[in-house]
Amino acid sequence: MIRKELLLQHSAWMSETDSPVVISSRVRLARNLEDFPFPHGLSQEGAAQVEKTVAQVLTDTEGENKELSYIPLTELNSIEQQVLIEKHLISPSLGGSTGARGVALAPDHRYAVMVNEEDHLRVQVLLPGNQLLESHRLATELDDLLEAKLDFAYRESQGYLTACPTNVGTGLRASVMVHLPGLVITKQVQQVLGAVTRLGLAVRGLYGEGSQAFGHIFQVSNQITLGKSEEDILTHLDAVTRQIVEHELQARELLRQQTPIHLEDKVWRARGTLQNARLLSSEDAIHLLSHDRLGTDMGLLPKTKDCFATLIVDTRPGCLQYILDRELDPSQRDEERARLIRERIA
Amino acid sequence: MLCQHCKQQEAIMQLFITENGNTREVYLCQSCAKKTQEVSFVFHPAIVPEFLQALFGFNSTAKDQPTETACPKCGLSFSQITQVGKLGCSTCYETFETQLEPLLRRVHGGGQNVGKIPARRGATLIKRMEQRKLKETLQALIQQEAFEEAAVVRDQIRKIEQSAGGEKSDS
Repeated sequence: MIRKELLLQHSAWMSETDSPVVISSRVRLARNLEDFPFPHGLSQEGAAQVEKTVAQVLTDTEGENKELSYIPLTELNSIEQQVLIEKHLISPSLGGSTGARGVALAPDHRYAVMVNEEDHLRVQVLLPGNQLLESHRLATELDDLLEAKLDFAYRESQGYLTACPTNVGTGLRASVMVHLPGLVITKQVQQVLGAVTRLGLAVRGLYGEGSQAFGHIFQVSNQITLGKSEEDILTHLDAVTRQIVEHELQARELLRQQTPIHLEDKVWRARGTLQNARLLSSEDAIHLLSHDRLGTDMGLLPKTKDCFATLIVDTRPGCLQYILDRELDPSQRDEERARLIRERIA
Repeated sequence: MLCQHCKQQEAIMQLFITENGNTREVYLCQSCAKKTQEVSFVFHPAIVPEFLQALFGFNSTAKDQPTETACPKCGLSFSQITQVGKLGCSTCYETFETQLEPLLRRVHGGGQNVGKIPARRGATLIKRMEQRKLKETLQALIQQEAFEEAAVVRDQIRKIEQSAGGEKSDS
């Protein structure tokens, strides 16, 4: 698959599911090679050697139906790196750093393995809807294949050893991306997410900008990685996610019962603007798309041609410029964003 | 982002503060964070290294030591680690085990690894864990006076001991 085709590929996690609240599930495993210092302490040659060793093993998994393609980040321009960040396939810090580093991608992006980020390997599986257990199963499958060929740093008492002690143990960070417009509109979100943070889980916004409620989308993840088994971590996050979903659905029902006309007005206004606007900023677009999604989820609006996650990602600055294959200044982007949404929402 | 308290230093920590059932978020610098007694917080993932520096700072035993040990593999000292907020290599975990212990307890709440064991490198360890689990089951069965089942478990333990050469430790 040629690079542009691979990057533009519709990421598996952006597919529509029957889950009205959980957009996607992610599992990430942090792993390091025993024989090398952690990435921040590597020399240029050391980093190149780690990259070469790991990329070789990652692309060797083809026979196992993983079909991973390794992309060195040094070969990508800044827009291409931004596309990977906006699709949640690499972290902003991998994009922002220098030296030998990269990402191995599956054709549908369900696997995205970062090389030489904070740890030598960050095995990520990203699936649509609430599929934490399946994501973990897939991540473990790949981890087993890698572990058969690479010596990972591991101690009996501390588990998998990581550059940052917040990841040591299982090296597992599991997270769900949830869409909570009902809780935000009914002003219950702080209360519900505040409770979540007291259960050993962290909450942040869509692209990790503080905890800003960008498009009413939040990411909830585990914090503790040592002293708990993978199963316990996933079961706990799954149970809390189900609670969040229940609260969100109750909030939506409350809106339907108490202020039905206001709710209808809100979602139809969003649809009307998205169908007719000639200029849309990134923030406006995400906010309106969130209300539109609420409307379709609640059966108040007809479904759109493209789904919520796809529209949100494709209208981000990097993806928009990459799809249109040209650089755009912010005002040109607002115009093209509005055009793309008009075409795709019909 | 600037600290919302002193408005002078760069904020390194995101706190969720719950008062009268309402939760609000506050971004604080290291010194203001030290002053606050709030415990209900989450990490901001992007600022974890800085946050770790703050954690180390709360309990910086390393700074009081006149001569510092350096990690034999990567050469980093514990104070260098606290400055970066990251360990240098896998051997650092062994070299600075004592200094790291309180930090790991604070971050993860204590407890040893109970997660996945690498199949190839941890083969001996997997057998030993299995053996330990069976011994616990054996004790429970004996207490319940379920001697027939206990005998079966005892035989399983013997079998593992014979194949693995007993409770050898994993390097």
